[in-house]
Amino acid sequence: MKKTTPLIQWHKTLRSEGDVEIPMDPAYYEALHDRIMSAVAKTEMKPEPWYARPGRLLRAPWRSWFVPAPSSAPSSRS
Amino acid sequence: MVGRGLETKTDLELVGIVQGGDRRAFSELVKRHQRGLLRLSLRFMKDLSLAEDVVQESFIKAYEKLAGFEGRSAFKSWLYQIAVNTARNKIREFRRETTDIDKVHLAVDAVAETTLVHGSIADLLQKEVEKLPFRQRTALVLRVYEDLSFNEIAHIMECPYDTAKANYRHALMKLRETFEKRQELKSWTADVGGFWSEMNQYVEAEG
Repeated sequence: MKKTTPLIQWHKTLRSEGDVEIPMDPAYYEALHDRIMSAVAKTEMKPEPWYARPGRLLRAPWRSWFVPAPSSAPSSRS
Repeated sequence: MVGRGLETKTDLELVGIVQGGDRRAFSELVKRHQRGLLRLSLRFMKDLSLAEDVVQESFIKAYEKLAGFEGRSAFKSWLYQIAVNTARNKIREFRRETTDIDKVHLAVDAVAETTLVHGSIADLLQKEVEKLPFRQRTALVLRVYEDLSFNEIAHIMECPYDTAKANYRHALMKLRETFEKRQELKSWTADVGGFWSEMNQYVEAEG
């Protein structure tokens, strides 16, 4: 409990002293939203990369490199 | 009806709809997060038009990469991660200009220090926070102003939990050192409700 009290006070003080002023006008945010969405309209969603899901990673062709050789395989030392 | 329906959905549900090809759901995500993202960007960029650019670029990047978003973290954390990286890249782009601006600020500071009464603790704090290394500043901003947990901060900063916490702590220590070195500030800040004594208590308790 001793740790939390100074933390809460510290947060409140620092936040109140160092708060940035952002526009409050709803019209400003509507304009910003429209600007963002017009840019997004020209953007294409990139397809998910092939390595994004573990399942696909396991099916990758080079996976066999990681699979341990069977015990019957000849040793490289011999 | 569609718009009203989207308003009630969670971020993850909206992401699912966008992944299905409906851009209107992304519009709702922009409405929800643009204000928070602007505030975060403004902390790094210090200029509203640059902060707006960061917000716009962040949303565009988020849209491009949305197919790869699996929902393992909150959409907000993922978006903030993109915004922090975008802001860092922008700062690098404008480093030369920013350095020039800093020089001008420093020249003004030298005069202003003699008449600190005219300044405010907010301006002073902002200047000291700006001087912190980017990672420490990020941890401080996310913890204090965005009120995020260290787990979320670690995800946004793409670092381990302990590293995020250490960055935050180092930022506090640096601020304390700076303010303790400057005797005139020490006596000045004592008038502001024991601000630094509270902060010292916290740093020591956390240590």
